[in-house]
Amino acid sequence: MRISMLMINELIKKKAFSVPIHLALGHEAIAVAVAAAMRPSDRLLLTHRNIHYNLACNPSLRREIDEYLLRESGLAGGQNGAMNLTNPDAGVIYTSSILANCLPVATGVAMGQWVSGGDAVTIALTGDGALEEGAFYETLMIANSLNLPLVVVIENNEWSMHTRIDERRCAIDLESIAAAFGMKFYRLAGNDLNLYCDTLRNVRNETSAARKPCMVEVSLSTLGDYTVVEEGSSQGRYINYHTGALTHVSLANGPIIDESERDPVHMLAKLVPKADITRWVHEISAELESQLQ
Amino acid sequence: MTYLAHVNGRIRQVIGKHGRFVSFGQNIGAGSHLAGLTRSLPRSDDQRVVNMPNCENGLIGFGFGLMLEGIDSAFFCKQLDFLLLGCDQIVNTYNMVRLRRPAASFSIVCIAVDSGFEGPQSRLNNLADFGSLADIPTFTISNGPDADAVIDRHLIAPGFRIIAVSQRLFRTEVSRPSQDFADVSVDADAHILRHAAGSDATIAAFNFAFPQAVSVQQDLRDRGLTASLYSIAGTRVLNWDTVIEDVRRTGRLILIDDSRSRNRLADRLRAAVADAGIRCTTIPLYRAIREEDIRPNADEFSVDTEQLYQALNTAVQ
Repeated sequence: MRISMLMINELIKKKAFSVPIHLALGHEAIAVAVAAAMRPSDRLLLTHRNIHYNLACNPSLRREIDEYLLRESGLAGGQNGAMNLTNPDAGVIYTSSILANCLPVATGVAMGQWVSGGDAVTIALTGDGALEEGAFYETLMIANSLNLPLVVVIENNEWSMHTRIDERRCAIDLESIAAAFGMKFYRLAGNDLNLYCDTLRNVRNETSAARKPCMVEVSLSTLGDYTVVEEGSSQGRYINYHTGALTHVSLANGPIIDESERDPVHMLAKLVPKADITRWVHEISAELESQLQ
Repeated sequence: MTYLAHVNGRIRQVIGKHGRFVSFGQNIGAGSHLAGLTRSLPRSDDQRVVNMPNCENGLIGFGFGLMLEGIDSAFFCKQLDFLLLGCDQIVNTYNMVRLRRPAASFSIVCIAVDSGFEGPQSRLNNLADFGSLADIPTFTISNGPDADAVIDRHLIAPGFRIIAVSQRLFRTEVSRPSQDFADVSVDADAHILRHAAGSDATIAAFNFAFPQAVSVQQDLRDRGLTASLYSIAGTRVLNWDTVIEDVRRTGRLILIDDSRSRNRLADRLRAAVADAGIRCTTIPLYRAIREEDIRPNADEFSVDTEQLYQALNTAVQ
């Protein structure tokens, strides 16, 4: 997934796409865990930053890129572009570029699955910026009022576009909010892929069995941050990556962007011998490049 | 029978004949049942009636989510202006969902609070405004035949639409035109209903102005003039041919619109008639848009038929 995103970044640098693309470097661990936990009848609803989930649910980089190029051979037949990309065959039933928009839709999807019978679970993704929207709270209320099997996953990178959350608003304690709605709450941090996968699998199964919604907060870093000098100031300002090309990140430098806990690939690389990592990178790169020929 | 009882009965009938269905909304299964609009909705294992929390944006998204899962549903909403809270879903989610051409049905059935005494909320009474947000099929019900045609064809049908009823009309008798014209004709989409055929004028009623249009038609008849009478139930009319042909024959077009909007559907018919190259006398009878209507008021919309008659006579001379 990291290599796929870095390849897409190289194409963004070359201005290959007309549609805006939001890379998710640093978000990979939770996406892999969600995709691994999902069963065939489960549903996934996503946000504008959906590339990591779509890549986790869809093995074809070619079809992902074709969608960004608005080609019929794209993942959604060239109908969705990037920010609204769905893949119903893989359970990605709805994606919205509007902050918190997918959450109310997720309650209806979960209700629909319940009406149809079975033990499927609906998983809805959002970010910490969406906590400021009323739709977030409306969703918790509807899901709890109707006992819907809904997992709300909040990717918390502490940024909303180019502004740190603590520069913009008061702190929001999600655990307390979950408690106020009587929901189970889980917190993940540190990019431990095995822990993430085990937790999401358990969350998915418990939600299905209990027919109750729950909340998962994942602390993560959107890699690719940089410093800009703003107009009227001689001081540099640290900015989080939001969209477009990461000009200072290159595939040629390998898949690890930040040699710290912030980078899930770095954390994964610590679990296996370096030689294996090098071999994997070579093999995966060759495979992906062959898709792009 | 009252307008409200007629609409409620038709809704119950259509849902009752259908299979799996979810009716949802605030207080729809309790208390006044939205003043009676949702009283005695069919309930069974397959047909659910769900009282929901007060969160309109969430509820509209909920309906689209059901639609994505192939479940037919209707959101019964107490007031048209409440939909303002869900504009993101009405526009953005609808635009995403319609790309998939869903087979399931999602309808919002809401009450236009046009009785006036709610003050600022009464100011918003034009369903066409909502329709224009995302080219949404929208329908007004202002008489019995409208109710039958719109509810039968659109309450449960693939896709999304908004259907509005008028609070002002709730306790009135179901409007019917003169018994001299008992046959009502309806176009294929239930957009345009012809209630009567005449030779001296064409009357078209928009939004919830049908009772006023009936009054005008009867007044003209008392003066020896016969008029065709149309209610425009669909606000997304793409084909005005049936009305245009009638105007070509009568030479007079009377437009009656009770909406408070600069985006009047009546003006689209007026333009279509002009585009067709028809020379006719057009008399628009529109509700005045007044600043004082923001305050609670009786919200009366009456037509000065004497003035109308003079206008028609002047045109004839």
